[in-house]
Amino acid sequence: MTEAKIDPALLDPTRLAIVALLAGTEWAEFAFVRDAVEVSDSTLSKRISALADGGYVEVRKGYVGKRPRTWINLSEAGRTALSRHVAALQDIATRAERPVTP
Amino acid sequence: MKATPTPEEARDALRDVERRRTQTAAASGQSRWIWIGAGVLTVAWGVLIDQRPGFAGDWGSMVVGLLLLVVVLGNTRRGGSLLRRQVRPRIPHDSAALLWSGLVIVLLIGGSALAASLHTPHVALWTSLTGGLLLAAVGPWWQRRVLTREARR
Repeated sequence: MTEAKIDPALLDPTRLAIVALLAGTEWAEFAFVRDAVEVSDSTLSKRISALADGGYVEVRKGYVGKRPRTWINLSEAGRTALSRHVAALQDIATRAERPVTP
Repeated sequence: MKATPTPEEARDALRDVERRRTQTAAASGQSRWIWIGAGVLTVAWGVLIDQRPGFAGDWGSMVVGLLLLVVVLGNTRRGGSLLRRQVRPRIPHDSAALLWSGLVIVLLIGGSALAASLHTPHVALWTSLTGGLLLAAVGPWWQRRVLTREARR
């Protein structure tokens, strides 16, 4: 069973959205993540850099023809952090729904 | 958000996570038309072999090689970009699904081999018709099932 643990880095909604988007992928292009999360290039760059510094995502840059491309993938550490974070969120949400016994 | 989210914030975050997972699953799949196109091509291949038996011998290896190249290329980052594929889905290693897929392929190949050994007419046509219909009708459903299941893991 996944250990529930709130990850401070994933409390930011944009970072959580990026990590959740990448969870079902082997890799995704920068443009896909940008359009899906609906942020600007610079905002996404900053968030991705922060996530990469924390070891949550891995970034690869390259060229297709003459056009630069950036691909992002969730690292194993990022995958574990997301699972733990989601489990902790579920715990909080479920606990609040349970009736208080005297 | 504070260090510990409130129940309302937790519910909002969970809803967003679910929404993002669905977004990825939707973006990862091929469109229904690609599946229908693949089905039509499979049937067309069968018709060609049925009408011109020499065609498979002349062009078979080249067509198979070309298809393999497209599949391999589409799964790489650069190849995916060339084919306008922005996301590569994470496919689960599900032994039950693998077993079912294997069973369908073995049934198709085994059935064709058996029919050919019994000198049944138009084996290639019937095999391609079965395969093509399976691809066009079941392909989109199967793809959605696999991708949605992985997104919820």
